[in-house]
Amino acid sequence: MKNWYLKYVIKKPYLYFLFISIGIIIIFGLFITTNVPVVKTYPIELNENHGEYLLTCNEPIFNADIKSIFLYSDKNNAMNQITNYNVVNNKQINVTQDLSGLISVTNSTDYYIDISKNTVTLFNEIFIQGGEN
Amino acid sequence: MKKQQNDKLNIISSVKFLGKYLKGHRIQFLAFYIGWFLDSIATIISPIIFGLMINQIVYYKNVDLFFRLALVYLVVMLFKCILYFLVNQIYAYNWVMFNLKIKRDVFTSILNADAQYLSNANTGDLISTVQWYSSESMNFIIYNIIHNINGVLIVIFCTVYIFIINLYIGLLMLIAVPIAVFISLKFGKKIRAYGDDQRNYYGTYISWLFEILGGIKDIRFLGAQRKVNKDFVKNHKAMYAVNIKSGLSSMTAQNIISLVNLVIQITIFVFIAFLSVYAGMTIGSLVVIVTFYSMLTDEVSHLSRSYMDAQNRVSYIQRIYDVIHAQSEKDWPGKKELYVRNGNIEFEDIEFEYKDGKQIFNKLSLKIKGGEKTALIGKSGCGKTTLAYMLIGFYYPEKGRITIDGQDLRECTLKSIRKNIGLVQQDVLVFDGTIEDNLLLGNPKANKNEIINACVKSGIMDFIHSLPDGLNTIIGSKGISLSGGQKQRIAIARIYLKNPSILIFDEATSSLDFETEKQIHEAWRQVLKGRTSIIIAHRQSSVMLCQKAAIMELGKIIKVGNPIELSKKEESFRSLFAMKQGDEDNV
Repeated sequence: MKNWYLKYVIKKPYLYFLFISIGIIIIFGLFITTNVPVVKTYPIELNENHGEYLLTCNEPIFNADIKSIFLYSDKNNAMNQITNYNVVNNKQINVTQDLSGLISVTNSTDYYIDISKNTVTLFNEIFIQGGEN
Repeated sequence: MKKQQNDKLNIISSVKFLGKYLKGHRIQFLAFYIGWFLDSIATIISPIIFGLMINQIVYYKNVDLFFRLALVYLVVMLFKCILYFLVNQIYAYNWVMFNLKIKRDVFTSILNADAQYLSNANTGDLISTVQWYSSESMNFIIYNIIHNINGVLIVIFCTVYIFIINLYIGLLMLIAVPIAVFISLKFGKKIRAYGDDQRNYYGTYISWLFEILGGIKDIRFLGAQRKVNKDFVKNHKAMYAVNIKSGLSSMTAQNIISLVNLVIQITIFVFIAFLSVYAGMTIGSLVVIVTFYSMLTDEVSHLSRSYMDAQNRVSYIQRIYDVIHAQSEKDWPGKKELYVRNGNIEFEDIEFEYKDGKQIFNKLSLKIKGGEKTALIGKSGCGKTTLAYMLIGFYYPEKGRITIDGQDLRECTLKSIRKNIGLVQQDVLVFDGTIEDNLLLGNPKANKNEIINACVKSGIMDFIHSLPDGLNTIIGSKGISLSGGQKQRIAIARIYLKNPSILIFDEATSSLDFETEKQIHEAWRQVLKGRTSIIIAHRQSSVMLCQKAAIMELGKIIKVGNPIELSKKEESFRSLFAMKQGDEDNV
C-alpha cells in the first residue's frame, strides 16, 4: 500500500493532479451554481399616513424586477424586510405592513432601503467583484 | 574551468546555482507549488465566503443562501485540508531527494578535491557542509523562494481586495509594506555577515570537537579535562557572541516591523469603527478586512523574516558552492597511461610552495634507480612526505618535473599513476567491516586465493586462522581492534594484492615497538624485492634496510649515499639519529 502510494501520489503524482482537477471542478461548479443577490442601497423618505407608509426615493428604482426590499435606519440595529407593499410609481411604494417596531427603536430620521433585483454567481462575486456586494 | 574562489553568491545567484538540482524532480516541485498556490487561494477566499455568509444571515435572514454558502465553505476547507496533507508529503519527498543530490555532489567534490585544498580545509566545516548545509539549501528553496512567491501573491490579493472594499483602509495598509521592506533590506546585509561568521565559528568548533572526542583517552591520561572544558566553554562563548548579535539584529528588525504593524492595525480598527457607525459598514466586510489585514501583516512579517533567514542560508549555500567548485583532481591534465618498466624515478629541479607561501622545495633533484630501496631522511617538516605525495599526484611542482621511466607524471592519468604506486603510512586505514573487505581495498577484484596468498606473505594468516570467523571477522569500532603491527601487516597484504611497481613507506613503523618493527621489517624485505621503494623514516633501523639514503635539508637533497657510509662520514646523518662518534660500528 505504502509503495503504491509513494509511486502514484508522490513520485509520479498522477493521482495528486487528478485529485486537484476533481477538486477544482467541484468547487468551480459550486461557485457558478451558487447565486448571490446583488444588493443596492438607496436613501429614502419615510412618511406615515394612517397606518400605511409611503417610501419615496429620488431615483426610479421601483419596478417589477425587485426581488426583495429591506428597510433600516441603522443596519447593525434593526432591518425590516418589506413584503406587503404596492408600487405607486417608479419612485414611490406604499407599505401596508406595520413598521412601528422599526420606527420605535430608531432615533434617526434617515432611512435606507437595500434592494435586490438580480443575482450574480459566487464566482463573479468573489473573483470579479472582489467580495464587494 | 573552476570558478574564481571569490565568487560571492546572492539570493538570485543562489537560486540559479540550486536550480540544477531541481532537474529530474521538476514535476514534483511543480506539484508542490501548484498545491501550495491553491492552498493560498483557498486561504484568501475563505474569509470572503464567510463574510458573505454572515451578511446573508445577519442582515437578510437568507437561510437558504446561508446553508448553500456554508456548503461551499465546507468543501473549500475540506479540499484545503487534503491538499495540505498531500503537499506536505510531496515536500518531504522533494526534501529527501534534493538533499541527497546536493550531499552526493558535495561529498564527491571533497573526495576529488585537490590535496592542497584538503590540507587547508577545516574538517568540521566540511562535515557541516556535507551534513547540514545541504538541508539549509532545501529550506532556502522552499521557505525563502516558493513560500515567498506565494507570500507576495497573498499580499497583493489581500491588498487589492481591501482596496475594493474601502480605498482609505487599503491606503493605510500599504504604509506598512514599504516600511517592512526598507527595514528588512537594512538589516539583511548585517545578518548575512553574521551568518558567514557563524558558519566559520561552527566549522572550527566541529573540527575541534572531532579531534577532542577522538583523543578522549589522551585527555584523561594527561589530566587535561579542565583545560578541555575551558576550551569548550570558550568555543561556545565565541559562537554565542555571534549568535546573539545575529539574533538581536533579526529580532530588532522583527520588532520594529511588528510595532509599525500594530500602530497601523490600531488606526485601521479606529477607522473601521468609524465606518461601521457612520457609513454602515457591514459585519461581513469587517470580518473580511480584519482577516485580510491579519493575513497581510503575517505575510509581510514572514517575508521580512524570510529575507533575513535567506541571508543566513545564502551563507551556507556559498559554502556548498565553494566546496563543489574547489580545485579538483579532475583538473589533472594527464591523459596518458603510465607504464612502469624499470621503476626509475627522477625528481628534476623541483620547486614547490604551499598556498600559504611557505617554500618547501628549492630546485630539489633526486634520482632513484629501478628496484632500489632509498631512504628519505631529514628533520620533521622538511618536506619528505610532501615529496612522496608528489609522486602519487597529490601535488605537482610549480617548476621542474617528476618522471617515472622517462614519463612526465603531469602527462599521465592519476589513475595509472596510483595503480603503479603503493603507499603505506603510519596510520593504516581500517574501516568497520570484515578483514576480507578491508583487504580488498588493495584490489577490489582479488579472488579468495589471492587474498589468502597475500595474507600468508604478509604474515597475518596465523592471526586470521586463530579467529573463529577467519576472514569474515568484523574489525574496527564495531568489531575486534587490531594492534599496530597487525594493521601494518594488513597494509602489506594490500600491497601484495595491488602489486604496484613502486612503494612508499611513510613512517610506517614509527609507532611500533622494537620487536614488532623487526617482524614488520622482515615482511618488508619480501614485499620490497624487485620494487622501487622510498622509505621515509626517523628510525635508523628502517633507514638501514635501504641501499641508499637521501638527506633533505632546506628544500634540497644535500647528500645521497649508502647509509653505512653516511653514518661514518656525514655529520648531518649522525645528528638526525643522535649518533655519537664511534656508534657507526654498531650500525
